[in-house]
Amino acid sequence: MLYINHKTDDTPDIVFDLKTFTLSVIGNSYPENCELVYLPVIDFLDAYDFKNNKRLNLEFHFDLINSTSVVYIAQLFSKISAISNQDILIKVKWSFDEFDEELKELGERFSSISKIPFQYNSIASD
Amino acid sequence: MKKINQHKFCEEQISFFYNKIREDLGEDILVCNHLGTFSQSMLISIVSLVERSLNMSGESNKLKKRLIYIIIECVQNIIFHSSKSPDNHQLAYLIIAKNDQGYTLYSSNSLNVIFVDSLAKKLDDFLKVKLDILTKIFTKKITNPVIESEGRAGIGLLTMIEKSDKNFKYEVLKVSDDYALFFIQINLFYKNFN
Repeated sequence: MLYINHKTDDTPDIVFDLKTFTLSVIGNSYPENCELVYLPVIDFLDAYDFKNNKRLNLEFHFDLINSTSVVYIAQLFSKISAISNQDILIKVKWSFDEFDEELKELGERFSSISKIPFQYNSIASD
Repeated sequence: MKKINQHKFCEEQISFFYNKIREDLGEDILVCNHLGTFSQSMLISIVSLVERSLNMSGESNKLKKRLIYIIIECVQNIIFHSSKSPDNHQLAYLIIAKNDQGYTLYSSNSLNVIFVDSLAKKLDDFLKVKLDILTKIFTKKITNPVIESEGRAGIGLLTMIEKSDKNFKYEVLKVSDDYALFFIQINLFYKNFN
């Protein structure tokens, strides 16, 4: 496991699983400075060995997310979209709490922007 | 008027409006209130406090999420954009109240008068278009963002208007040569969450 960001009250766990080639972003995302959280992810993608790995799985499950985080995630998808056109298999799993239609719609917006089909996963609330 | 005196006058004005809203609440229930400086750690506490209060009131998950999203944008807007006194204090408040119609969020912060016209124009432009157009504007802004200092994207107000279904009122009141107060009132009505 490669930790890019450790979860806090206002930032998500951002982890890359070396065995499954899965980058997961899970938790709240409303930090004061989103750049500090998401630029390391962009750096990670820049350094990722797509040529040999040929694939990347992405998993997102946000609880609370602020508008600036949305902008940074859109930038991530813009980058990933360019990569997906290079014969690299990209899979995106977008999870959301079952009552959170807005978060599902946000996933749909990202899917539309990036032209990558998402797998949507509705999670039942406790 | 000297800047320090302007700031003191501004402080008196914002305290007056803060107290007036609290007095006028009548039988409405006060959920959360703060006057003064805001910070990210305070926002985390407010989110936790309001979340607990909404859970205890048995509010729907959809309303809870919507209100908390708006609080995050509102407080971060204050943190980033409220002017500060010479001793680095902010003049701002947040009040959240509920009644049988739903929840109301009141906030105000001071800002330099040079920002008033552009702020009002931006808000009027957002408020005069339909919600589906706002959604398109939002998508356009997230795909072509203008990142400000410290990684801010400047779409907090647009998000608040969109998430409140345009139940967003604002007012800007010039209180001195250099300062104005920016007031927001956002309503989340139960009838929209059934």
